Amino acid sequence: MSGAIKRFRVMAVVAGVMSLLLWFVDLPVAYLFNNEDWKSKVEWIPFVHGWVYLAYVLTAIQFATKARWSYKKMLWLILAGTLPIASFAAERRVVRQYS
Amino acid sequence: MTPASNFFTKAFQAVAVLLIAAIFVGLGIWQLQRAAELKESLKVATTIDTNIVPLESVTAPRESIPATALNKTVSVSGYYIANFRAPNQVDGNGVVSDWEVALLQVGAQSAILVVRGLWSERLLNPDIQQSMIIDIEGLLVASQYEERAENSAGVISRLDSAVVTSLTDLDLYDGYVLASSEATRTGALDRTRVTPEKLTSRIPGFYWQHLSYVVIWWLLAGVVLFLPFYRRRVTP
Repeated sequence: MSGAIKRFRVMAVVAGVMSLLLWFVDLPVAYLFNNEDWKSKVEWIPFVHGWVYLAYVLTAIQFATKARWSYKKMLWLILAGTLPIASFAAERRVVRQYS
Repeated sequence: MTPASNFFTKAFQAVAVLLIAAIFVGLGIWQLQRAAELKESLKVATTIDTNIVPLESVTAPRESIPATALNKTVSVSGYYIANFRAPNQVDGNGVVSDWEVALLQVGAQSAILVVRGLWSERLLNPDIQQSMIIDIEGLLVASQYEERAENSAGVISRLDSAVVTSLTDLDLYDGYVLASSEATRTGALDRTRVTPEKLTSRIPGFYWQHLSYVVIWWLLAGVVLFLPFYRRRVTP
């Protein structure tokens, strides 16, 4: 169980950072600024975010299963990885509850 | 829980799992199609077609250039109605120079930007008058997005009809023609022509991004299908 928590905490922080980059760097550059040079410099962000989020989902499922969470609660944990701040909040909640 | 309600719960969960997995597989297929479409459009855009076709047959004013029209050799006739300097342009050999760009009126209602040659050679054909019909052949190129200079009187910041819309009421074509020859009724106009930028067949990052998403969606579909078995194994 402690291994699953550790893995989830690491991925929650990494996924949170990648979400911040996606929402506040990549999306504004892609849709607000008409600058091809900037676009080419940030095109790695959604690419990396996709893989990080997949890893986050796997760790969230492992943790939620071992903690015997319901499907509904597990779904909220998975969705938390899509918003910039939510995964940090989820990580804090898990730490409070299980550490 | 009664056996009947237990059966319905399990049946509902099985249908939900299959539905979600099917959605993820569908999203993967959608990304695969987008990758294939991107690759196809690149194939068209990275090949120069030397067959000469009339401009009006491949594109129209006030419309984005179709991908199939890019890098086609086109012929177009009309009158020059304005002249501009386009600073800091880079040709196919990497040489940076100022180019002479003219707005060519085509028919009564439309116009397109034409790169005539180097700005330093703009005085080579003093006999050209605005009433003369000029026959042009050249490469149809997509509009530039990056600014190369400041817009000012007689200067355009990039090769894009959007920067001259306020100067004319004519319907403008998207993109521009990189002239390889100009001729009047009295003969060809002799001047140095700009060499087109070398086209690259490098597949951009977006293509690999689409393919990456295919793998991610299908892995998620696999995770969803495996999840009930995993939960049963961990929490018997």
